[in-house]
Amino acid sequence: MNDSSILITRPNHDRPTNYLFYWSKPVIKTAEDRGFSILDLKGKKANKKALTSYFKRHKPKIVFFNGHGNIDVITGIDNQILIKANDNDDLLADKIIYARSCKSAKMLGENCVRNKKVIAYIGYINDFILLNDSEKVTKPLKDKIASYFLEPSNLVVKTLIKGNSPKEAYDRSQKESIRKIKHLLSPKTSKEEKSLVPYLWRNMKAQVLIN
Amino acid sequence: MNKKTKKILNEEELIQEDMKLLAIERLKSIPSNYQISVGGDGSFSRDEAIENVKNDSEIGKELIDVQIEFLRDMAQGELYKYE
Repeated sequence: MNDSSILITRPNHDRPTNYLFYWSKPVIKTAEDRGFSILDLKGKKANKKALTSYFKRHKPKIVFFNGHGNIDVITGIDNQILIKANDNDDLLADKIIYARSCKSAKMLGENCVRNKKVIAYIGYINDFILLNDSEKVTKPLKDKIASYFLEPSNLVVKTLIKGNSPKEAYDRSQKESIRKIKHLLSPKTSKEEKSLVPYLWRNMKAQVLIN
Repeated sequence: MNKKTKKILNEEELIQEDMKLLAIERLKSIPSNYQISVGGDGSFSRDEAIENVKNDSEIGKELIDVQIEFLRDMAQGELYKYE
């Protein structure tokens, strides 16, 4: 198994996926700096055929999904199904998964770890909520509002890339969410910024580690 | 339906209405240039989010739930468990 490759899916067909598309770039940079080979299924390449082909030709240890989802699926470009529980989730065996998509930890993640020999699955049991600044949609990486939501989640994969365990990756992401929430609740921040907190709190509570 | 059941239903409806009003007030504190994306269910401006709450849509119900969950957790000191 090639331990130093990472597969990333990042469709970009609507506003939230476009934000995830851009916010995956700092993770890719960290992986490159650490000598990882990047299997980047971006935009239209985030489809089931390409994903299956990549899994057959390469053996990535870490898989980072970005996109929409539901309890039993993760989707790619134009919401096409990439992975579905008890259909093709065997592809994920022996891998560490981080699914930045809604609800997939609830059933797909559980199934992967309990029945498909997935090492660990970090994901969400509820919707992933993202707030952004409408004036920054053309420059998502400059969007400070979105950064509150996406920096803690990026930390999951950055921590894994640095050789840490899934538990450490999960814990660091949770801690960073709490740090941001406490910062926003402090007297230094504006009422407007404080309005983000309930959504960050929801995401933090929805994020789970299954192993 | 007996009187007691009717009374309980009315109380539940009142609580639901209060929660809705509370969520609307809290959504109003979001600046108008912020957009909210809830999973694959779409992206909304602040005012669209408020309309969803007013209209009892699924998104609206989720937005109420987010606010109520947060307020309940803070009242129960959940944040301090992370000290």
